[in-house]
Amino acid sequence: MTDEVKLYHGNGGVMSHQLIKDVFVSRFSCDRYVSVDSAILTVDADQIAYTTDSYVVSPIFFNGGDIGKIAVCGTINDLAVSGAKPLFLSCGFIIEEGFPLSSLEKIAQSMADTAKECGVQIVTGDTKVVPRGCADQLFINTSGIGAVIAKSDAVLGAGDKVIVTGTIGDHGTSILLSRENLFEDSDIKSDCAPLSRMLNDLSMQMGAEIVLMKDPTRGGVATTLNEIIGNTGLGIELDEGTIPVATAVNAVCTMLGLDPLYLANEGKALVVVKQGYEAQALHILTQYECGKDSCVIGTVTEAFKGNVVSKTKTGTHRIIEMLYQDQLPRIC
Amino acid sequence: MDTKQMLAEIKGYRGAPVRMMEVCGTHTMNIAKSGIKEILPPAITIVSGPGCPVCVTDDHYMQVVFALAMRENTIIATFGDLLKIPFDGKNLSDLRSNGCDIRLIYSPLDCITLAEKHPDKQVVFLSVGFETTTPLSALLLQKTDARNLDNLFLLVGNKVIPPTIALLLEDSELRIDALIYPGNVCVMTGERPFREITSQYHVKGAICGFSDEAIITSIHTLLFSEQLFHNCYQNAVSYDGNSVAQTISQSVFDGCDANWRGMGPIKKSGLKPKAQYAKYDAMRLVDASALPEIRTSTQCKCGEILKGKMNPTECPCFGTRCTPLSPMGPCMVSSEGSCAASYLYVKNGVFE
Repeated sequence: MTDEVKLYHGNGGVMSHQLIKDVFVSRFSCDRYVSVDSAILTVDADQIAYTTDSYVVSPIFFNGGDIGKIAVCGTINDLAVSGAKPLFLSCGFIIEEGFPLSSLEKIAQSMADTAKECGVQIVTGDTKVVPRGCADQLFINTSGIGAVIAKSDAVLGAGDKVIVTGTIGDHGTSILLSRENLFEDSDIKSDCAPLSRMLNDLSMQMGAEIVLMKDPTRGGVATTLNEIIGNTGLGIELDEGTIPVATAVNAVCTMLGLDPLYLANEGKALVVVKQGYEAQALHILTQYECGKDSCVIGTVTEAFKGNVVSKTKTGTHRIIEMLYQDQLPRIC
Repeated sequence: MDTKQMLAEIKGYRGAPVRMMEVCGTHTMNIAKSGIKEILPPAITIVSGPGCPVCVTDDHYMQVVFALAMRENTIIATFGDLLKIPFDGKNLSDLRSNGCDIRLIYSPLDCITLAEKHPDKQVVFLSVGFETTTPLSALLLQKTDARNLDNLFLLVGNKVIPPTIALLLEDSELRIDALIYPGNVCVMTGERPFREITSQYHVKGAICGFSDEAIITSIHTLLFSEQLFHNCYQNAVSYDGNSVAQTISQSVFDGCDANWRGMGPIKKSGLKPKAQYAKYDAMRLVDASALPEIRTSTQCKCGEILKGKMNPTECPCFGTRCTPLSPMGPCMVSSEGSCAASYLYVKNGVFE
């Protein structure tokens, strides 16, 4: 077998079958894989959650993960923040001709490991190969089905507490450093991690008190909080001093003129709970490695209508807008 | 005195009106972000001067950049801020989408790798910046020469701060009572040039760091101390500054007159490569006389804003026709521009 992906691996013939068998089926151990066109699934739930996402991260290997891990975590986390237990994933690969097979195997392995860790099965998939230059190495799409385990009738209201499950901006910073080969000796790692065990536990134990959960990926915490506020007519007041940012991430951001509030996270959730339940939520979250730095960062308010604001050290408030354009590194 | 106490005294200031000016993009942003302006009593005004190197880069420079970017076999290497500067209805980001080869870099020295990797192309580094960035451009020029790279060029738009501050102080319309000096520039230049300005014009000045505490300390000092000159950033700024950086810059660049956006030509406020480095000057790659005349927008008030004569929110375009998404002028584009700072942090007014 060759050591790189060729156009013929995508032609649906013998070589396609061999690639799928050797690289994917063997690792995903989907025993359902036979020559059928769909996976037939049994889901024991009143309601299912269903989501999809495409992953085009560059570089595809970075400190703390790779495109495969992110493709599995991202979809699992989307299900988990919706109060669902992730069960099944599909995966679609668009591979640029010439992509090293060893890298594809590494990525498939990392997908398999992450899925296994969460008790999730990858049950169906698709592979396409495009001519060199028509895609940037590898794109992955995953869709996921989960069983809804907790439903809450709680609606967003003044006094609700906003919790973040750990330090912010780690993923965005790590990707930037990997992409530009900056500060190669730094220990900044992407936070890319599946959150389903932690968030499912939270949903099971206190589902009724959870108003909502969201994962602050692209656009960061600032953008996600603005999405939460939307047209509710409420505001969110953040306490600037309480937002956890790793020292190294803060240093890089200060140097390059970036704001961690707008950087992507791949292993964090924002959890809004009813007032008075924040301690219980923190007690559950901090028992998990991926939630050990969880803390309350803000409160939903009647004031500041339609805005996310941050209380500054001088006691004034500044508006935290939604991300409006990509942050660009500055001159001085 | 701790910061809280200083803040209380600033809030309680009831003396004669004081108009302060800062001349550093990072101060512009941090002052806006910290909310300090909003707690100032009516007697104290802080205006932003020409402190952002991107904002003061004129249309002529951008016109040459565009001409270079559209040449065959040319790679433009630039810091991120310049990508969004509008010129003739377009910006470098648009040119990149249209196929021009424009690369974001983090250090000027990255250009050497770029030039060595692409011997068949001409790499042009957009060298824009004040005293803080200039030594890096100088180092790039030295290294380019040492390696005898014949495909690496600099489009030098570097500027120096002190002559411009002096000019602003001579402007009778502007009436500045105190200056918040840029701590980062002073790390390079040392106290000396700013002490000279203070003694020549008898205007109070404080070298200021960048934390909220540092900014509050400087404002407090300028308000309540009788002394004219203060170095409030002593842990970073010495009397003579960074002599290594100064030597490198002086060995490579000569002073020259330069055109500032909104302010026009200012004597000895710019830099150009010394004769021995002239072959690396990207200006030689274009026929400047063949470039069309520039039409400048009369609506965008960036010029007045850069001089501190107008607040961003007083510009008729602010927040309506001119926003960070569709900026008309550089002050709304740059992450350190005063219009962007106003838009991001104060556009919806104060919450108290």
